[in-house]
Amino acid sequence: MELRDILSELKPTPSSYLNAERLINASQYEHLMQIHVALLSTFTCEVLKPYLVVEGAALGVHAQPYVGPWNQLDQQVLDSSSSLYQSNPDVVVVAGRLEEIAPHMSNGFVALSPSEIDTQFGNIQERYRSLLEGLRRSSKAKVLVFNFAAPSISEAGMADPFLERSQASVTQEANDRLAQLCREFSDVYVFDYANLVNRFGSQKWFSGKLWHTGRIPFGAKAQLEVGRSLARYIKALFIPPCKCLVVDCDDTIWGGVLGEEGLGGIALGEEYPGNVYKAFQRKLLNLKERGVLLAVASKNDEEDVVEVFEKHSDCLLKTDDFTAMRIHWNDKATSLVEIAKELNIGVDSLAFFDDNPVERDWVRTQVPEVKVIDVPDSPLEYIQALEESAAFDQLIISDEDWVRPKMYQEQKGRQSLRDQSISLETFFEQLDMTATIGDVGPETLPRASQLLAKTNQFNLTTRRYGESELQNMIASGAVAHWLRVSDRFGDNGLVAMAIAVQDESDSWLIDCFLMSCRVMGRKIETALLSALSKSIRERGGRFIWGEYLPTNKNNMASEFYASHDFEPPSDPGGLWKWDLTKGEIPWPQFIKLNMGADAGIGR
Amino acid sequence: MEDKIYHIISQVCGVPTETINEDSSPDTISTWDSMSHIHLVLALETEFGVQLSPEDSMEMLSVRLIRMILEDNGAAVSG
Repeated sequence: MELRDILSELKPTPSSYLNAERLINASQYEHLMQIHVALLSTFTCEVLKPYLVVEGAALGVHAQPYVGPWNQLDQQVLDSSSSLYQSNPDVVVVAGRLEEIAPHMSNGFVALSPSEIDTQFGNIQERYRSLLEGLRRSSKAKVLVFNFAAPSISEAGMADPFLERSQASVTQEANDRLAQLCREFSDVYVFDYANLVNRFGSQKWFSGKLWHTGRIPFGAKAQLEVGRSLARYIKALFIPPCKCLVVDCDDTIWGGVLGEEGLGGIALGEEYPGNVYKAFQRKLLNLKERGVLLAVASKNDEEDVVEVFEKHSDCLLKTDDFTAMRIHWNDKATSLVEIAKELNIGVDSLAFFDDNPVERDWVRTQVPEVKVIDVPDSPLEYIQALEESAAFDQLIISDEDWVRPKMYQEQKGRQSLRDQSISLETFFEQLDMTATIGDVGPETLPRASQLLAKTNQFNLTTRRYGESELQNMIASGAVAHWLRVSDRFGDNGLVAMAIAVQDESDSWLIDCFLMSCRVMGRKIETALLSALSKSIRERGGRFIWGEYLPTNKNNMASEFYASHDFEPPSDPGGLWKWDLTKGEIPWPQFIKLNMGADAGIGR
Repeated sequence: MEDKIYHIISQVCGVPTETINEDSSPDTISTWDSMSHIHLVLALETEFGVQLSPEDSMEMLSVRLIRMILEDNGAAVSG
């Protein structure tokens, strides 16, 4: 049975999910990523399995759950031979409730003095620290830690808000401290259980019957919510988010058909229904702030649409907010492919939001890699549909994300400069590029592993190391360099990295070499390769071996070693060789090397 | 039309409807374990729109008993 058919017949009931879970487990869909998920909890959580498996499948993940024995977090985590580690988890979920982790915080809370509350915080912190250290010691799995939901009925009743330290604020503080603790570890993230309970309503969430008869703290509908949310987090851990949202115009970012109603006739403003579309536009700007690129694919006359962006006083989205536009009467599948090409990203990094089901279907059949969002009939539900599509889920927002849209805007400037330039050399010189190169360390680790996870095209080996694996490699002597580049248009951020490992006394292998596509064609890869060769030579290396592992996306990197004059491998698919006795790989003259104190190179 | 209770048990326990009868119970259906029982009660509540007490939930240990208890709770169960 096709997965799509299973999902389209799915109803939000326990029996329907159990049936779907069974069908999915029996089918072993190859396009789903197999993920071993270990669940450790202070309550019974086996009941979540069908919801996790089915919702995961809808997001591209085939979850293989392992459920640890009830309320044995420490025993499972601290014993390196426990069944938890034997389950070989890719992700470990630590689901504790404040009620069991710190019973006094819920039972007898009113009698706690402020200093006793601090003692409780200390105990919680110590317990979780030992759990996380234990996990990091014995496993490379990524970790999701449930934060705590406030009780629906406060111990102090209506007096809670007037307590010097209210139960609500203490729960919040426990969550803040938990998040802070998680940040100290690599690949450990908070699962926002508190928010989930809040959104659903804590009164409806809790099931007294299930709790007292089976130690299950939530009812059937809430179980579905937890499973769905866990699936989204797990997807966000292993599958990169979409980089660009392509939207339609008519009946999507405003109401009505521009070509018929004209600038003054479309619904966009402070009153219904125009305010619904304005709110949706605000949501799109929010995504842009989170680092998502916006683009337009619309069947309209371009000057009409641009007129709305520039002249309509209630149109929040301006021409500059879009990094690419395809506004014409030709088909949208082609538009999407062109947009991906223009932005130098894969079509699988595009999400498409269009109110017209025919367009959605067309795109789905023509470019199946595009994430086509199911758009509800009512624009009142657009924002929720966009958020729940999970297309833009990411667990942390890095510094790079804040500035990405701005960098693409600057890129447009570079493009037009290239059009005017006489020769490529002149163009590069006019760009006035400065590269800063350093060793991957604690501060750059998150961005480095994000880059490893996201880069598909200019990536020689496509090895996806998590933060802890990277750390281990560096600790055992690997050379790991990052490169930032700035030019006259601005800072491009941390855009490339390379890792070399010593495999014999005088010979080093380039294990990873990758670069973001937005800086392609500027010899930045040459700069990084040159710096890497220098570092290897300084460590006494004589031979550098280069490896290219083809995938269906990284063809653009296939000539990398050939174009840098490495000796070709003796048999196809073998290693490329550079002999350092003939010198290092030459540095591209038009790029300045920043040898600043933080550069880490040439010390 | 397929009996609704049979259909729910079939989906929850993963057994064909044809193998289910009024006397089916955790003794005759091996996949009807304690976790399936929790799912089964929640499924019955959802599909029949009733709220079952803990006592009723624990006593539903055969199809015949399920039918009786659902009827007592005012659910529209065909026999």
